[in-house]
Amino acid sequence: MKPVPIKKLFGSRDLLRLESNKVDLQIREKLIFSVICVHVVLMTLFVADMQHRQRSFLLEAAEAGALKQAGLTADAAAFWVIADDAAGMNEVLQLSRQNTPVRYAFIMDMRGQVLAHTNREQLGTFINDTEILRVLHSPKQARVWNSDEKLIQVAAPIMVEDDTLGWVMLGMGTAPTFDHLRKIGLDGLLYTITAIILGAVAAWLLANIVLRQLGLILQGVDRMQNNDLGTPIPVVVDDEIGKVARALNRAMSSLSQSAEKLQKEMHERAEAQQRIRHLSRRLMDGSEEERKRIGHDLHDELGQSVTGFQFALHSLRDLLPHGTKDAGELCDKLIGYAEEMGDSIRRIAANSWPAALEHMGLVVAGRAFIRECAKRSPNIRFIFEDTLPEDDNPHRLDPRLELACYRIIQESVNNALRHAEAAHISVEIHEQEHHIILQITDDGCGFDIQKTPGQYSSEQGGIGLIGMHERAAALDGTLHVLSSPGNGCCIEACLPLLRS
Amino acid sequence: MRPVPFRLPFICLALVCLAFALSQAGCNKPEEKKEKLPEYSDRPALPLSPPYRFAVHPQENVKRVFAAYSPLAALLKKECGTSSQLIVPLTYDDFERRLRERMFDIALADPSQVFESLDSGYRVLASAGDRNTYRGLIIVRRDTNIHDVRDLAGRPLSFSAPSAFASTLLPKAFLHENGLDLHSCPMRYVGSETSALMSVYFGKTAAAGTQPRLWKQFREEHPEIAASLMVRWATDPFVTDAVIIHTSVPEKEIARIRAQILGLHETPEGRNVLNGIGISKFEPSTTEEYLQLARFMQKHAEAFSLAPQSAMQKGAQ
Repeated sequence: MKPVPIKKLFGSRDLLRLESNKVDLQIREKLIFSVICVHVVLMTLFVADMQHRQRSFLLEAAEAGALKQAGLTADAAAFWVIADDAAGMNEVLQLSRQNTPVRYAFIMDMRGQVLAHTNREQLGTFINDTEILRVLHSPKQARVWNSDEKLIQVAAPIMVEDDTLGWVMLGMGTAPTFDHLRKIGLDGLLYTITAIILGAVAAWLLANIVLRQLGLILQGVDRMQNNDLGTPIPVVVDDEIGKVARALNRAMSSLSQSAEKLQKEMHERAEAQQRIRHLSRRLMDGSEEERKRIGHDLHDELGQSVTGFQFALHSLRDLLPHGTKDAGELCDKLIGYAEEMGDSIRRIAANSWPAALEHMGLVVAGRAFIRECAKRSPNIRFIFEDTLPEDDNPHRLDPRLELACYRIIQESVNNALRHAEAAHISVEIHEQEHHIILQITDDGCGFDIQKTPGQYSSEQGGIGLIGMHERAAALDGTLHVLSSPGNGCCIEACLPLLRS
Repeated sequence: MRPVPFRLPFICLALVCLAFALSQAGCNKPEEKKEKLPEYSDRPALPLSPPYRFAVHPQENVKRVFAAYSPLAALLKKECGTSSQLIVPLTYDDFERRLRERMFDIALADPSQVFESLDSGYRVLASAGDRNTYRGLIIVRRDTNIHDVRDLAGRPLSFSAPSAFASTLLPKAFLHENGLDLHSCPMRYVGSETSALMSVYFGKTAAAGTQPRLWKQFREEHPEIAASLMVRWATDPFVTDAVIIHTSVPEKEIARIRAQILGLHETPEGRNVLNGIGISKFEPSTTEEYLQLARFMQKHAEAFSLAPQSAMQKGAQ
């Protein structure tokens, strides 16, 4: 299985850095904002609720205090009302104002006449207030007859046994209550701001603690991305994030072991591949040697024999007496057979070992091969282009490179002739950046490389796609096949330039 | 969907909450609106005629006196339609001063106050209580060695007020008649009969003056203390307290009030009122009956620290 790159596992380095920055900023902000918002909401609710309760409590307390004050004043005034002593009543009222927020106080009899008043101008006047007059004839108990944001007004009966002598009316200011409430509100605001600040600082510290470990984790991931699996992530906290760091360390350790194992396997595989390639090269070299020997034998020995046989037949026909028509015709026929046999032997010898390649180089041999093909397939148009220097140049290509190129051209063209039903076949040879580039293109029916690789394997002694690959790889080159059904085929080989 | 930026909703929420908090902190100032204060007028809102001012002399705790006599005032209003304001001055001096200044329309006064009020335009409407029971009592501790009037010589005596007739003047007259030089005795006027008796109980004084009705009441309220006290002497009965009325009250009204007062003992409701006051009934009386007080005052002028001539002049008048 092909090893998966670490970058694919963890994403690109830039993306990771971007993510790490984003996390770094957002977690701190989120924490601080969340804590601030929670503090603001909770403290606001708390302060509002506290104020509401305090307001109710203080107003109730103020009303209770006013009622109590009025009751005490009524009790104290009873003697003076019984005695009809205005001075005494006034003294009681003045006493009721001492150290209390009493705004006004007066004593009235059951007719509504003011018997005593903290404002002496009202002495002897009559109450002309329906609400207070209603109090005169209501049940004999102290009550709040009017209460608003500024003044709590209460009434308390002046009783002796069951007799009501009159009423003490008292107005108590609420300023102290609201001053107190305002102070509570301001204190609450101060507490809220303090809580926000403390919360924000705590969140900032917490974020730093969390982000420190996260930062170390991200640095560790960066190292992993750079294949540095040997340096573990420092664990500075013992919480969940610390556990994540430990888990990552374990994963890194496991990954490191796997990577080592993989490296070892890859090394072994490369060595094996090298050995196979070496073996393949030796096999190919052996094969080429054998083909060369067979080609030489066919050309030098069998070819010479057939040529001698031809000469012998010609001599035999010349020796035949006139009038032996049948024997002459037979000799001609045998001479024809011998010529065909000679052609076949030369062709087979050329296929097994192109002598032109050995003696005249790749371009000449290539052209000769194409010419031969064109002769055999007159319906197909062949094109051969090259930009290589002349083959007789002192810097001629290495024989191994020439042979590999020739074989690739030979195999590609033979495949096209056999399977492609092409109208055009072109062969291009170029030198580019210390590489030889071969391109064999046809406009034939094409094929699906993934589905039918075997169709283009070697047949009848051909080297096939695999053989072409092996030949290219043996010279540290590459070979690519581009084809699809209906779109022809293009075989491109890129081989390092070697000079002889 | 486009993600909502993280900060925006939180910032908005925080600002709203802060604004709310600030508003909460500053909203406790009372709203500036007009106060509702009581309204006054020179004329009464209720159509009630001014009541008669009915005063009772402060023979004891004013609240108790008020509670005792308020049913009488209520009954007078109910039966006669006479609205009255019951007044119990805190002191005898105040009561007598206001009598002299004609500040009461009707009053229940002791004999000396009745006698004094005659100069101020008052006249007797009825006498209060049984004539035989109106006398002075001299109270001492049971464990005392006082057996004779002269044993009190030089020892402090306690009374409610200098001018209380039954509780002060009658006992003083008795002691004077029986040979005690009152000038040798420090006089303690302690404001009420109860206080005078408590002074004897605590040993601050050797004897105290009171009257039968109040002594009975004291024994009911303080039986343990009363048990250690005893009546050493009782004076002869004298004319009782009287209801006096000012001559400015219309005759028709005077007649109605007199009839109502004198008939109290004839109805259950009236008897309840009398029971609360501590007398059995009001009896018809005249101003002339109280003129004998002049002779009494003259006889005991020395005991009362009055100039004999002054007392005689009052009697002549």
